Amino acid sequence: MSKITRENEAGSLSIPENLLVTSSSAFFLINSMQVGVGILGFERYIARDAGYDGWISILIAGGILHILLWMIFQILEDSKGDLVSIHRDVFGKYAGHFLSIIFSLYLLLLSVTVLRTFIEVIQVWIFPRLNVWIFTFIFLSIIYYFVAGGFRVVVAICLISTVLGLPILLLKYFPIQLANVENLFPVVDHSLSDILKSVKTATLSFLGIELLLIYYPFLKYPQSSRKWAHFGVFFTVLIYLGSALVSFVYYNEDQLQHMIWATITLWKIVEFPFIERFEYVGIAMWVYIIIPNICLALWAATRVLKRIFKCRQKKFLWVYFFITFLATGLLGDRQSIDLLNKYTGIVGFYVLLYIPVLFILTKLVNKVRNRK
Amino acid sequence: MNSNVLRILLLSCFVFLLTACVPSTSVEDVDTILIAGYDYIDDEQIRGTISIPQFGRLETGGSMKEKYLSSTANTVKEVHAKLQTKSSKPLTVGKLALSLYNEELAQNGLGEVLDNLGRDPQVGRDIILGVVEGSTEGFIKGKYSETETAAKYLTGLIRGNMEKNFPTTNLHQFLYAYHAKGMDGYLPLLAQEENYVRLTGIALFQDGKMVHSIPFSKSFIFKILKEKFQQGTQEVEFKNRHIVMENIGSSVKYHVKGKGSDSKVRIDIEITGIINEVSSLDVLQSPKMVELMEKRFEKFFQKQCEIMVQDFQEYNIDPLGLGNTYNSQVRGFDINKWKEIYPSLPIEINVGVEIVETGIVS
Repeated sequence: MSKITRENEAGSLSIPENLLVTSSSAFFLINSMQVGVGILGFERYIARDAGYDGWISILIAGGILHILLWMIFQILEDSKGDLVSIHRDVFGKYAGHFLSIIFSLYLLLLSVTVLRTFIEVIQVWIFPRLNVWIFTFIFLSIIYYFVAGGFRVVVAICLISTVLGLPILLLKYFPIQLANVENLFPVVDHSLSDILKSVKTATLSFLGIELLLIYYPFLKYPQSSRKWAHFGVFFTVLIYLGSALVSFVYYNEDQLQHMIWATITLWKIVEFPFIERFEYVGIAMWVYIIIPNICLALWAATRVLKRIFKCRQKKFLWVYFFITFLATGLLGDRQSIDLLNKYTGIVGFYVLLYIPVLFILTKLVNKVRNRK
Repeated sequence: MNSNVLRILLLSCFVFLLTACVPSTSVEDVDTILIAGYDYIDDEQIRGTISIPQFGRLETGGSMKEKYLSSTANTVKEVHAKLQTKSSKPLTVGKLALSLYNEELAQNGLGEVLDNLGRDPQVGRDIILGVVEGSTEGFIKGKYSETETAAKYLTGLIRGNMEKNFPTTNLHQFLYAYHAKGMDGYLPLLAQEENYVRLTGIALFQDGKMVHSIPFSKSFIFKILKEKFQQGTQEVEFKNRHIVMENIGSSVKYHVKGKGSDSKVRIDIEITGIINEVSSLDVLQSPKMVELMEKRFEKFFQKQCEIMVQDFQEYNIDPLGLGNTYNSQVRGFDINKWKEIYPSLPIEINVGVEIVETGIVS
């Protein structure tokens, strides 16, 4: 498989060179999609099964993620296209398009979940009387502005988000002052099955690499993007590992189970002379983490539809925005939002499971074709 | 061209929309609660008292003004609701610095109050909780300082002492101990005396209920048993005279040995100190004297620590969090088993004292 054919194939997807992005973009694309609203409260779910051995699960899940990422690159390199063309090659036109549309709907679900969960955070922590409809409308308008700008604008947002997210990590300094490191011991105090259960939960926090299946043709040098993408996953795992460890030494196990948003509650101990309640600043800064999440998901979701129906992307964008707007506004209370998160998690788990399946299928199809 | 017009339209939309999402309140239009105190009335009712600073009159040279409100109700939230009916401006707890309880309420359990504090997103995690001897109402209403608010005075008092002899405490740490298996919380114990406040000791809790207390004179002992720190002084009798040691670095480590009912706990304390005050100069003349002093301090601390730990075991409270350590060093921790063995657990205490300097005179 030489490099030239791949570029030709990218050309056949008719992506002009001025729309392509550099290799290092893969780092920001992967990382900013993976770090989202989940990191604000994932510690509790990981610790539910494996207790404070949860950090081991994060490492294992990180390893699995790297394997999945490798598979995705393998699939894409073999087929020289994106998810839509892979599905068409493997399953034929109708079944393939059907699966692609399901993937697009999954991304829609993902963006609704992220947006609604974040608005819930704002409602609980800052403005209990927030008008969800108006806020969603404004938020989506901003996102429309970015997504309508095209893929390169979305990449830029991802970069800004990663860079702006970094200083927030420094705030871990404050809770570390009150750390009880002995919480982490004895290491591996739980059974293997408990840890594996928590690996599953941890893997769900890392959803986001599957979008590579859509934007891969936009990478100018796919080969050198590979290492950047792996760096991205590695960096995400580091962020999650750090967050989990800090929460584990700051809270004790029973206390953590009461924390819906462990990371935000962690910010409450942050003390600056000029600001009393730092969590407000933290949540406001988190908008920058959330925006690329939704932008990228909605961009990819509509991109799939564009590829299938050969229609203008903006039309689908309007439809998806309308659906997101309605869904976000109609979901009212904690229970339904929790349920939404749960179902998105289940769907996401199957999407991740689907990657190895697709990997094997493309290998098989390629073998059969080569024999002919 | 067309998209540019759309962009400008959208942008100007945001400018107007973003300012009018929720009703806003400015600092001048709210009453910020700085201290909240709760008194026990009977099994059902509690009485809440709050202190609110009145800003804007200081430039004229008048004294710091504060407003006090009290109400009686069944739950904490209800107290706050009732207090609101007495205040002209909306009450906020965003700047709450101190939450106080009288001894009776603490003895009856702080679970409800703690839940209220822990659940409210507006309340910080570094606020100070405290137990007051007598009623908190009178305590809060006492005028202590002409130039600063009672909240600032009291937090300054407690935080200042936390850097010296008093163990560190805040809402997070108390909640941590409250939820922990194998750890019990403690809070500062305060008393009002004429026109000042005195830290009288440490209130010790079990499952959110105050069961015991130790006097302030023992707080240095408690602190060396509890945490690593670099401040504080302790006086000891030496050859019928008094010498004072200033701690410049103390560390403590818990070790667990054995399993089940054969468990043993060893507490190792290392203190580095300097001699600060000697009532007669001739005691300091030889280097041998310093060694003797070290021995004397070691013996003193060892004895005091043993008495204190035995006291804890007698009351079946674990403010040191030995259960937590046990959990981290022994696999298959069972909290019920631990509670069974704790009162009769052999606890060995080793104290090492090193005196490095004796001041600028010899």
